[in-house]
Amino acid sequence: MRKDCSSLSTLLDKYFDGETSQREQEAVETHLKECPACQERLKFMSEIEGAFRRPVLEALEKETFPWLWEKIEREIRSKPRETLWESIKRWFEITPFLKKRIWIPATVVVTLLILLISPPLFKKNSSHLPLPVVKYIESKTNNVMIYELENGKVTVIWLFEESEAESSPS
Amino acid sequence: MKPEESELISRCQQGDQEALKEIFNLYHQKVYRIAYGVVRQREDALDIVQEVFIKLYRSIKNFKGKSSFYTYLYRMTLNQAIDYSRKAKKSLFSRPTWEKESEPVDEEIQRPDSQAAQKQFEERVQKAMETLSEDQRAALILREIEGLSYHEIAEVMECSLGTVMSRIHYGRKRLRELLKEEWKG
Amino acid sequence: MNKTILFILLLLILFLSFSSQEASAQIPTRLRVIEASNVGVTIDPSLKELHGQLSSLFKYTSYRLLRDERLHLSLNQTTTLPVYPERTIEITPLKFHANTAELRVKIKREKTEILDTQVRLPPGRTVLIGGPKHGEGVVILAFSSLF
Repeated sequence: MRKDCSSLSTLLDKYFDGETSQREQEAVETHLKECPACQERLKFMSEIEGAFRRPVLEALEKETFPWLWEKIEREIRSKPRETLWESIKRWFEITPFLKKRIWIPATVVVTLLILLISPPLFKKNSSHLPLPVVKYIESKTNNVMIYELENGKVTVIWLFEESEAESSPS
Repeated sequence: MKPEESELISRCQQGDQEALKEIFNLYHQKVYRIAYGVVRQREDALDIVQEVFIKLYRSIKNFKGKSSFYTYLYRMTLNQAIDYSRKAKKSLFSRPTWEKESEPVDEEIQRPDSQAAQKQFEERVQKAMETLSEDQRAALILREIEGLSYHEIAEVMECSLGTVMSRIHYGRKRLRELLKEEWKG
Repeated sequence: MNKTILFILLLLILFLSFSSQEASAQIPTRLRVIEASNVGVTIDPSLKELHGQLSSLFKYTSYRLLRDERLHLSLNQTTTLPVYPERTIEITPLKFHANTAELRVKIKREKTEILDTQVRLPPGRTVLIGGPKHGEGVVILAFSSLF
Protein backbone atom coordinates (compact mmCIF):
# COMPACT_ATOMS: atom_id res chain seq x y z
CA MET A 1 0.00 0.00 0.00
CA ARG A 2 1.24 3.44 -0.88
CA LYS A 3 2.00 6.08 1.72
CA ASP A 4 -1.13 8.08 0.95
CA CYS A 5 -3.24 4.90 1.25
CA SER A 6 -2.78 4.84 5.02
CA SER A 7 -3.68 8.51 5.31
CA LEU A 8 -6.84 7.83 3.30
CA SER A 9 -7.63 4.72 5.30
CA THR A 10 -10.48 6.17 7.42
CA LEU A 11 -11.71 8.23 4.49
CA LEU A 12 -12.18 5.06 2.48
CA ASP A 13 -14.68 3.78 5.07
CA LYS A 14 -16.54 7.09 4.93
CA TYR A 15 -16.52 6.97 1.15
CA PHE A 16 -17.82 3.41 1.18
CA ASP A 17 -20.62 4.48 3.54
CA GLY A 18 -21.46 7.62 1.55
CA GLU A 19 -20.51 9.89 4.45
CA THR A 20 -17.82 11.96 2.78
CA SER A 21 -18.05 15.65 2.03
CA GLN A 22 -17.68 16.80 -1.58
CA ARG A 23 -14.02 17.58 -1.05
CA GLU A 24 -13.29 14.27 0.63
CA GLN A 25 -15.11 12.38 -2.11
CA GLU A 26 -13.00 14.05 -4.78
CA ALA A 27 -9.80 13.24 -2.89
CA VAL A 28 -10.75 9.58 -2.58
CA GLU A 29 -11.84 9.25 -6.20
CA THR A 30 -8.63 10.85 -7.42
CA HIS A 31 -6.62 8.41 -5.32
CA LEU A 32 -8.65 5.41 -6.41
CA LYS A 33 -7.93 6.07 -10.09
CA GLU A 34 -4.26 5.39 -9.40
CA CYS A 35 -4.37 2.83 -6.62
CA PRO A 36 -5.39 -0.75 -7.43
CA ALA A 37 -4.80 -1.79 -3.81
CA CYS A 38 -7.45 0.62 -2.51
CA GLN A 39 -9.78 -0.38 -5.33
CA GLU A 40 -9.43 -3.99 -4.19
CA ARG A 41 -9.96 -2.98 -0.63
CA LEU A 42 -13.22 -1.25 -1.53
CA LYS A 43 -14.30 -4.32 -3.44
CA PHE A 44 -13.48 -6.53 -0.47
CA MET A 45 -15.45 -4.27 1.88
CA SER A 46 -18.39 -4.66 -0.44
CA GLU A 47 -18.05 -8.45 -0.46
CA ILE A 48 -17.89 -8.56 3.32
CA GLU A 49 -20.90 -6.32 3.64
CA GLY A 50 -22.82 -8.52 1.21
CA ALA A 51 -21.81 -11.67 3.06
CA PHE A 52 -22.95 -10.14 6.30
CA ARG A 53 -26.25 -8.75 5.04
CA ARG A 54 -27.43 -11.59 2.80
CA PRO A 55 -28.20 -14.18 5.51
CA VAL A 56 -30.10 -11.59 7.55
CA LEU A 57 -32.21 -10.43 4.62
CA GLU A 58 -32.84 -14.02 3.53
CA ALA A 59 -33.97 -14.91 7.04
CA LEU A 60 -36.31 -11.90 7.08
CA GLU A 61 -37.73 -12.76 3.69
CA LYS A 62 -38.59 -16.27 4.81
CA GLU A 63 -39.97 -15.17 8.17
CA THR A 64 -43.73 -15.08 8.65
CA PHE A 65 -43.66 -14.12 12.36
CA PRO A 66 -46.22 -16.77 13.29
CA TRP A 67 -48.44 -15.74 16.15
CA LEU A 68 -45.88 -13.18 17.30
CA TRP A 69 -48.34 -10.35 17.83
CA GLU A 70 -50.72 -12.70 19.64
CA LYS A 71 -47.95 -13.74 22.05
CA ILE A 72 -47.08 -10.11 22.73
CA GLU A 73 -50.71 -9.22 23.30
CA ARG A 74 -51.21 -12.15 25.67
CA GLU A 75 -48.13 -11.23 27.68
CA ILE A 76 -49.18 -7.59 27.95
CA ARG A 77 -52.67 -8.54 29.08
CA SER A 78 -51.37 -10.89 31.74
CA LYS A 79 -48.88 -8.36 33.08
CA PRO A 80 -49.75 -4.86 31.87
CA ARG A 81 -47.55 -2.94 34.23
CA GLU A 82 -43.89 -3.05 34.95
CA THR A 83 -43.13 -4.60 38.33
CA LEU A 84 -41.16 -2.51 40.80
CA TRP A 85 -38.13 -4.68 40.22
CA GLU A 86 -38.43 -4.27 36.45
CA SER A 87 -38.61 -0.49 36.77
CA ILE A 88 -35.62 -0.40 39.12
CA LYS A 89 -33.78 -2.68 36.72
CA ARG A 90 -34.74 -0.46 33.83
CA TRP A 91 -33.60 2.66 35.69
CA PHE A 92 -30.26 1.11 36.41
CA GLU A 93 -30.07 -0.50 33.00
CA ILE A 94 -26.73 0.26 31.63
CA THR A 95 -26.40 -0.33 27.97
CA PRO A 96 -23.33 -2.31 27.11
CA PHE A 97 -22.14 0.71 25.16
CA LEU A 98 -22.19 2.94 28.26
CA LYS A 99 -20.60 0.39 30.58
CA LYS A 100 -17.17 1.92 30.64
CA ARG A 101 -18.58 5.39 31.12
CA ILE A 102 -20.39 4.26 34.24
CA TRP A 103 -18.10 1.83 35.95
CA ILE A 104 -14.86 3.71 35.45
CA PRO A 105 -15.95 6.94 37.17
CA ALA A 106 -17.99 4.92 39.71
CA THR A 107 -14.91 2.85 40.62
CA VAL A 108 -12.86 6.02 40.99
CA VAL A 109 -15.47 7.56 43.29
CA VAL A 110 -15.82 4.40 45.41
CA THR A 111 -12.02 4.09 45.70
CA LEU A 112 -11.78 7.72 46.83
CA LEU A 113 -14.53 7.16 49.38
CA ILE A 114 -12.77 4.09 50.75
CA LEU A 115 -9.49 5.99 51.00
CA LEU A 116 -11.24 8.79 52.87
CA ILE A 117 -12.98 6.49 55.33
CA SER A 118 -10.29 3.88 55.95
CA PRO A 119 -7.33 5.84 57.49
CA PRO A 120 -9.05 6.39 60.84
CA LEU A 121 -9.90 2.68 60.98
CA PHE A 122 -6.37 1.64 60.20
CA LYS A 123 -5.05 4.06 62.75
CA LYS A 124 -7.07 2.40 65.43
CA ASN A 125 -6.18 -1.11 64.41
CA SER A 126 -2.45 -0.55 64.21
CA SER A 127 -2.07 -0.45 67.98
CA HIS A 128 -1.37 -3.82 69.63
CA LEU A 129 -2.29 -2.68 73.13
CA PRO A 130 -5.95 -2.14 73.96
CA LEU A 131 -6.78 1.47 74.68
CA PRO A 132 -7.40 2.25 78.36
CA VAL A 133 -11.03 2.52 79.34
CA VAL A 134 -10.46 5.53 81.57
CA LYS A 135 -8.97 8.26 79.45
CA TYR A 136 -9.17 10.99 82.02
CA ILE A 137 -10.29 11.30 85.66
CA GLU A 138 -10.50 14.07 88.21
CA SER A 139 -12.14 14.51 91.57
CA LYS A 140 -11.65 17.63 93.64
CA THR A 141 -13.53 16.20 96.61
CA ASN A 142 -12.67 12.51 96.79
CA ASN A 143 -9.81 10.11 96.47
CA VAL A 144 -10.26 7.93 93.46
CA MET A 145 -9.17 4.41 92.66
CA ILE A 146 -9.35 2.73 89.27
CA TYR A 147 -9.45 -1.04 89.05
CA GLU A 148 -9.78 -3.34 86.04
CA LEU A 149 -11.17 -6.83 86.31
CA GLU A 150 -8.89 -9.46 84.77
CA ASN A 151 -11.48 -10.56 82.21
CA GLY A 152 -11.30 -7.08 80.72
CA LYS A 153 -15.03 -6.58 80.82
CA VAL A 154 -15.41 -4.40 83.90
CA THR A 155 -13.67 -1.24 85.04
CA VAL A 156 -14.26 0.12 88.50
CA ILE A 157 -13.92 3.76 89.49
CA TRP A 158 -14.20 4.01 93.24
CA LEU A 159 -14.76 7.27 95.06
CA PHE A 160 -13.59 7.21 98.61
CA GLU A 161 -15.69 9.29 100.96
CA GLU A 162 -13.63 11.21 103.58
CA SER A 163 -14.67 8.94 106.44
CA GLU A 164 -13.67 5.71 104.69
CA ALA A 165 -10.23 6.73 103.50
CA GLU A 166 -8.77 3.69 105.22
CA SER A 167 -11.19 0.97 104.08
CA SER A 168 -11.25 -0.31 100.53
CA PRO A 169 -14.24 -1.92 98.85
CA SER A 170 -12.67 -5.35 98.49
CA MET B 1 -40.97 12.36 13.99
CA LYS B 2 -43.94 12.02 11.63
CA PRO B 3 -47.18 13.36 13.16
CA GLU B 4 -48.91 9.98 12.69
CA GLU B 5 -46.10 8.26 14.54
CA SER B 6 -46.20 10.85 17.28
CA GLU B 7 -49.92 10.23 17.68
CA LEU B 8 -49.37 6.47 17.82
CA ILE B 9 -46.76 6.86 20.54
CA SER B 10 -49.01 9.15 22.50
CA ARG B 11 -51.86 6.64 22.34
CA CYS B 12 -49.53 3.84 23.29
CA GLN B 13 -48.38 5.86 26.30
CA GLN B 14 -52.05 6.02 27.36
CA GLY B 15 -52.14 2.22 27.29
CA ASP B 16 -53.77 1.79 23.88
CA GLN B 17 -52.80 -1.69 22.75
CA GLU B 18 -54.10 -1.08 19.24
CA ALA B 19 -51.52 1.70 18.93
CA LEU B 20 -48.82 -0.76 19.97
CA LYS B 21 -50.05 -3.16 17.31
CA GLU B 22 -49.67 -0.46 14.68
CA ILE B 23 -46.17 0.31 15.93
CA PHE B 24 -45.45 -3.42 15.83
CA ASN B 25 -46.63 -3.59 12.21
CA LEU B 26 -44.39 -0.66 11.31
CA TYR B 27 -41.25 -1.83 13.05
CA HIS B 28 -41.20 -5.53 13.75
CA GLN B 29 -39.22 -6.40 10.63
CA LYS B 30 -36.56 -3.79 11.40
CA VAL B 31 -36.34 -5.07 14.97
CA TYR B 32 -36.05 -8.64 13.67
CA ARG B 33 -33.25 -7.62 11.31
CA ILE B 34 -31.19 -6.17 14.12
CA ALA B 35 -31.95 -9.06 16.47
CA TYR B 36 -31.07 -11.63 13.82
CA GLY B 37 -27.94 -9.70 12.93
CA VAL B 38 -26.82 -10.15 16.55
CA VAL B 39 -27.90 -13.68 17.39
CA ARG B 40 -28.15 -15.33 13.95
CA GLN B 41 -30.74 -17.79 15.19
CA ARG B 42 -34.39 -17.58 14.11
CA GLU B 43 -35.99 -18.66 17.39
CA ASP B 44 -33.78 -16.39 19.46
CA ALA B 45 -34.43 -13.45 17.17
CA LEU B 46 -38.20 -13.98 17.45
CA ASP B 47 -37.94 -14.13 21.24
CA ILE B 48 -36.01 -10.88 21.21
CA VAL B 49 -38.61 -9.17 19.02
CA GLN B 50 -41.33 -10.32 21.43
CA GLU B 51 -39.38 -9.05 24.44
CA VAL B 52 -38.66 -5.73 22.79
CA PHE B 53 -42.30 -4.94 22.09
CA ILE B 54 -43.43 -6.04 25.53
CA LYS B 55 -40.73 -3.91 27.09
CA LEU B 56 -41.64 -1.04 24.79
CA TYR B 57 -45.26 -1.12 25.90
CA ARG B 58 -44.28 -1.11 29.57
CA SER B 59 -41.65 1.60 29.33
CA ILE B 60 -42.95 3.84 26.56
CA LYS B 61 -44.12 6.38 29.13
CA ASN B 62 -40.46 7.18 29.64
CA PHE B 63 -39.97 8.11 26.00
CA LYS B 64 -39.84 11.89 26.10
CA GLY B 65 -39.18 12.45 22.41
CA LYS B 66 -35.64 13.76 22.93
CA SER B 67 -34.37 11.32 20.33
CA SER B 68 -36.29 9.93 17.39
CA PHE B 69 -38.50 6.98 18.12
CA TYR B 70 -36.66 4.52 15.92
CA THR B 71 -33.31 5.26 17.63
CA TYR B 72 -35.04 4.62 20.95
CA LEU B 73 -36.42 1.36 19.60
CA TYR B 74 -33.15 0.30 17.98
CA ARG B 75 -31.24 0.97 21.18
CA MET B 76 -33.72 -1.13 23.11
CA THR B 77 -33.39 -3.89 20.52
CA LEU B 78 -29.59 -3.91 20.62
CA ASN B 79 -29.59 -3.98 24.42
CA GLN B 80 -32.11 -6.78 24.48
CA ALA B 81 -30.24 -8.80 21.85
CA ILE B 82 -26.94 -8.41 23.63
CA ASP B 83 -28.48 -9.28 27.02
CA TYR B 84 -30.12 -12.31 25.43
CA SER B 85 -26.81 -13.45 24.03
CA ARG B 86 -25.10 -13.01 27.36
CA LYS B 87 -27.70 -15.08 29.13
CA ALA B 88 -27.58 -17.75 26.48
CA LYS B 89 -23.76 -17.52 26.54
CA LYS B 90 -23.80 -17.05 22.84
CA SER B 91 -20.75 -16.07 20.87
CA LEU B 92 -21.19 -12.30 21.24
CA PHE B 93 -19.49 -12.25 24.62
CA SER B 94 -17.31 -15.26 24.42
CA ARG B 95 -15.01 -14.26 21.68
CA PRO B 96 -14.13 -17.40 19.80
CA THR B 97 -10.59 -17.83 18.70
CA TRP B 98 -10.17 -17.49 15.05
CA GLU B 99 -9.46 -21.00 13.84
CA LYS B 100 -8.36 -21.91 10.42
CA GLU B 101 -10.12 -24.93 9.02
CA SER B 102 -7.65 -27.76 8.82
CA GLU B 103 -9.01 -29.54 5.74
CA PRO B 104 -7.52 -28.40 2.47
CA VAL B 105 -9.77 -26.18 0.44
CA ASP B 106 -10.09 -26.39 -3.31
CA GLU B 107 -8.52 -23.56 -5.25
CA GLU B 108 -11.88 -23.18 -6.95
CA ILE B 109 -13.85 -22.28 -3.89
CA GLN B 110 -11.33 -19.86 -2.48
CA ARG B 111 -13.09 -17.02 -4.25
CA PRO B 112 -16.79 -16.54 -3.49
CA ASP B 113 -18.00 -16.88 -7.06
CA SER B 114 -20.04 -20.04 -6.57
CA GLN B 115 -23.02 -20.55 -4.29
CA ALA B 116 -21.20 -23.01 -2.02
CA ALA B 117 -18.24 -20.68 -1.79
CA GLN B 118 -20.61 -17.84 -1.08
CA LYS B 119 -22.18 -19.73 1.81
CA GLN B 120 -18.77 -20.68 3.11
CA PHE B 121 -17.63 -17.07 2.92
CA GLU B 122 -20.76 -15.89 4.70
CA GLU B 123 -20.04 -18.31 7.53
CA ARG B 124 -16.44 -17.09 7.76
CA VAL B 125 -17.62 -13.50 7.83
CA GLN B 126 -20.07 -14.32 10.60
CA LYS B 127 -17.36 -16.07 12.63
CA ALA B 128 -15.00 -13.15 12.07
CA MET B 129 -17.73 -10.72 13.19
CA GLU B 130 -18.03 -12.64 16.44
CA THR B 131 -14.42 -11.84 17.29
CA LEU B 132 -15.07 -8.09 17.21
CA SER B 133 -15.90 -6.10 20.31
CA GLU B 134 -19.58 -5.51 21.10
CA ASP B 135 -19.31 -1.87 20.12
CA GLN B 136 -17.66 -2.58 16.79
CA ARG B 137 -20.14 -5.29 15.98
CA ALA B 138 -23.14 -3.19 16.94
CA ALA B 139 -21.88 -0.27 14.84
CA LEU B 140 -21.39 -2.53 11.82
CA ILE B 141 -24.83 -4.13 12.26
CA LEU B 142 -26.47 -0.73 12.31
CA ARG B 143 -24.45 0.43 9.34
CA GLU B 144 -24.40 -2.61 7.08
CA ILE B 145 -27.73 -4.24 7.90
CA GLU B 146 -29.88 -1.26 8.78
CA GLY B 147 -28.08 1.25 6.59
CA LEU B 148 -28.13 3.93 9.29
CA SER B 149 -25.99 7.01 8.81
CA TYR B 150 -23.07 7.67 11.16
CA HIS B 151 -25.14 10.35 12.82
CA GLU B 152 -28.03 7.97 13.41
CA ILE B 153 -25.67 5.28 14.71
CA ALA B 154 -24.20 7.82 17.15
CA GLU B 155 -27.73 8.56 18.38
CA VAL B 156 -28.57 4.89 18.87
CA MET B 157 -25.30 4.06 20.58
CA GLU B 158 -25.22 7.34 22.52
CA CYS B 159 -21.68 8.14 21.52
CA SER B 160 -19.88 10.70 19.38
CA LEU B 161 -19.58 10.67 15.61
CA GLY B 162 -15.84 10.15 15.93
CA THR B 163 -16.40 7.10 18.09
CA VAL B 164 -18.78 5.62 15.50
CA MET B 165 -16.23 6.16 12.75
CA SER B 166 -13.51 4.63 14.85
CA ARG B 167 -15.60 1.57 15.65
CA ILE B 168 -16.55 1.02 12.04
CA HIS B 169 -13.03 1.60 10.79
CA TYR B 170 -11.31 -0.73 13.26
CA GLY B 171 -14.07 -3.32 12.98
CA ARG B 172 -13.63 -3.49 9.23
CA LYS B 173 -9.86 -3.48 9.57
CA ARG B 174 -10.04 -6.48 11.87
CA LEU B 175 -12.38 -8.28 9.47
CA ARG B 176 -10.00 -7.68 6.58
CA GLU B 177 -7.10 -9.07 8.58
CA LEU B 178 -9.05 -12.18 9.51
CA LEU B 179 -10.50 -12.75 6.08
CA LYS B 180 -7.63 -11.66 3.83
CA GLU B 181 -6.63 -15.21 3.10
CA GLU B 182 -10.16 -15.96 1.97
CA TRP B 183 -9.89 -13.23 -0.55
CA LYS B 184 -7.46 -13.83 -3.23
CA GLY B 185 -8.32 -10.76 -5.21
CA MET C 1 -23.74 11.06 30.39
CA ASN C 2 -26.88 11.82 32.43
CA LYS C 3 -26.80 8.31 33.88
CA THR C 4 -23.16 8.78 34.87
CA ILE C 5 -23.87 12.03 36.69
CA LEU C 6 -26.90 10.54 38.45
CA PHE C 7 -24.93 7.49 39.51
CA ILE C 8 -22.10 9.59 40.94
CA LEU C 9 -24.61 11.84 42.72
CA LEU C 10 -26.25 8.78 44.24
CA LEU C 11 -22.89 7.55 45.54
CA LEU C 12 -22.16 10.98 47.02
CA ILE C 13 -25.54 11.10 48.71
CA LEU C 14 -24.94 7.63 50.18
CA PHE C 15 -21.54 8.74 51.45
CA LEU C 16 -22.94 11.91 53.01
CA SER C 17 -25.78 10.06 54.66
CA PHE C 18 -23.31 7.49 55.98
CA SER C 19 -21.16 10.27 57.48
CA SER C 20 -24.14 12.09 58.89
CA GLN C 21 -25.45 8.82 60.28
CA GLU C 22 -22.27 8.49 62.27
CA ALA C 23 -22.66 12.06 63.42
CA SER C 24 -26.28 11.63 64.48
CA ALA C 25 -25.77 8.13 65.85
CA GLN C 26 -27.86 7.12 68.84
CA ILE C 27 -25.65 5.29 71.30
CA PRO C 28 -27.63 2.74 73.26
CA THR C 29 -26.43 2.32 76.83
CA ARG C 30 -27.73 1.11 80.15
CA LEU C 31 -27.40 2.73 83.56
CA ARG C 32 -28.23 0.76 86.68
CA VAL C 33 -28.14 2.25 90.14
CA ILE C 34 -27.30 -0.46 92.65
CA GLU C 35 -27.28 -0.36 96.42
CA ALA C 36 -24.58 -2.63 97.78
CA SER C 37 -24.57 -3.48 101.47
CA ASN C 38 -23.92 -6.16 104.02
CA VAL C 39 -27.53 -6.22 105.22
CA GLY C 40 -28.89 -9.61 104.33
CA VAL C 41 -27.82 -11.93 101.54
CA THR C 42 -29.99 -10.93 98.61
CA ILE C 43 -29.15 -10.47 94.97
CA ASP C 44 -31.72 -8.63 92.91
CA PRO C 45 -32.79 -11.06 90.15
CA SER C 46 -32.20 -8.42 87.49
CA LEU C 47 -28.55 -8.21 88.58
CA LYS C 48 -27.83 -11.88 87.95
CA GLU C 49 -25.55 -11.18 85.00
CA LEU C 50 -23.47 -8.75 87.08
CA HIS C 51 -23.42 -10.82 90.24
CA GLY C 52 -20.30 -12.77 89.39
CA GLN C 53 -18.36 -9.63 88.67
CA LEU C 54 -19.74 -7.75 91.66
CA SER C 55 -18.92 -10.53 94.09
CA SER C 56 -15.39 -10.86 92.75
CA LEU C 57 -14.87 -7.13 93.10
CA PHE C 58 -16.64 -6.26 96.32
CA LYS C 59 -17.14 -7.77 99.78
CA TYR C 60 -20.83 -6.87 99.95
CA THR C 61 -23.40 -9.58 100.49
CA SER C 62 -26.49 -7.81 99.26
CA TYR C 63 -27.12 -6.03 95.94
CA ARG C 64 -30.39 -4.20 95.32
CA LEU C 65 -31.38 -2.54 92.04
CA LEU C 66 -32.64 0.98 92.71
CA ARG C 67 -32.98 2.17 89.17
CA ASP C 68 -32.59 0.79 85.66
CA GLU C 69 -32.44 3.17 82.72
CA ARG C 70 -31.89 2.41 79.06
CA LEU C 71 -30.48 5.49 77.46
CA HIS C 72 -30.12 6.42 73.83
CA LEU C 73 -27.42 9.03 73.91
CA SER C 74 -26.77 11.50 71.13
CA LEU C 75 -23.33 12.82 70.30
CA ASN C 76 -22.40 16.03 72.11
CA GLN C 77 -25.71 16.12 73.91
CA THR C 78 -25.69 15.85 77.70
CA THR C 79 -28.12 13.58 79.47
CA THR C 80 -28.66 14.39 83.13
CA LEU C 81 -30.20 11.94 85.59
CA PRO C 82 -30.72 12.09 89.31
CA VAL C 83 -29.09 9.23 91.14
CA TYR C 84 -29.13 8.44 94.82
CA PRO C 85 -28.28 9.94 97.24
CA GLU C 86 -28.89 13.56 96.11
CA ARG C 87 -26.50 13.22 93.28
CA THR C 88 -26.87 13.75 89.57
CA ILE C 89 -24.98 12.13 86.76
CA GLU C 90 -24.27 13.94 83.51
CA ILE C 91 -23.31 11.85 80.51
CA THR C 92 -22.09 13.43 77.28
CA PRO C 93 -21.02 11.21 74.36
CA LEU C 94 -18.04 12.87 72.72
CA LYS C 95 -17.25 10.35 70.03
CA PHE C 96 -18.65 7.18 68.54
CA HIS C 97 -16.22 5.55 66.24
CA ALA C 98 -15.19 2.01 65.34
CA ASN C 99 -18.00 0.76 67.60
CA THR C 100 -16.57 2.44 70.69
CA ALA C 101 -18.24 5.29 72.50
CA GLU C 102 -16.17 7.92 74.29
CA LEU C 103 -18.18 9.48 77.09
CA ARG C 104 -17.67 12.31 79.51
CA VAL C 105 -19.21 11.44 82.84
CA LYS C 106 -19.69 13.91 85.68
CA ILE C 107 -21.18 13.20 89.04
CA LYS C 108 -22.39 16.16 91.04
CA ARG C 109 -23.64 16.54 94.56
CA GLU C 110 -25.91 19.56 94.30
CA LYS C 111 -23.64 21.99 92.49
CA THR C 112 -20.35 20.46 93.54
CA GLU C 113 -18.61 18.32 90.98
CA ILE C 114 -17.32 15.25 92.74
CA LEU C 115 -16.16 13.32 89.69
CA ASP C 116 -15.20 14.28 86.16
CA THR C 117 -14.03 11.43 83.96
CA GLN C 118 -13.77 10.46 80.34
CA VAL C 119 -14.23 6.78 79.56
CA ARG C 120 -14.14 4.60 76.46
CA LEU C 121 -17.00 2.16 76.20
CA PRO C 122 -16.49 -0.63 73.67
CA PRO C 123 -19.15 -3.27 73.10
CA GLY C 124 -19.85 -5.48 76.08
CA ARG C 125 -18.03 -3.25 78.54
CA THR C 126 -19.26 -2.14 81.97
CA VAL C 127 -17.92 0.74 83.99
CA LEU C 128 -18.79 0.74 87.69
CA ILE C 129 -18.62 4.03 89.54
CA GLY C 130 -19.14 3.49 93.22
CA GLY C 131 -18.49 4.71 96.67
CA PRO C 132 -21.09 7.26 97.79
CA LYS C 133 -22.89 6.14 100.92
CA HIS C 134 -26.52 5.12 100.78
CA GLY C 135 -28.38 3.74 103.77
CA GLU C 136 -26.39 0.86 105.24
CA GLY C 137 -24.28 0.50 102.12
CA VAL C 138 -22.99 2.31 99.09
CA VAL C 139 -24.28 3.24 95.69
CA ILE C 140 -22.71 1.72 92.61
CA LEU C 141 -23.54 3.06 89.22
CA ALA C 142 -23.19 0.33 86.55
CA PHE C 143 -22.80 1.87 83.13
CA SER C 144 -22.87 -0.62 80.20
CA SER C 145 -22.83 -0.49 76.43
CA LEU C 146 -25.79 -2.00 74.64
CA PHE C 147 -24.17 -2.07 71.21
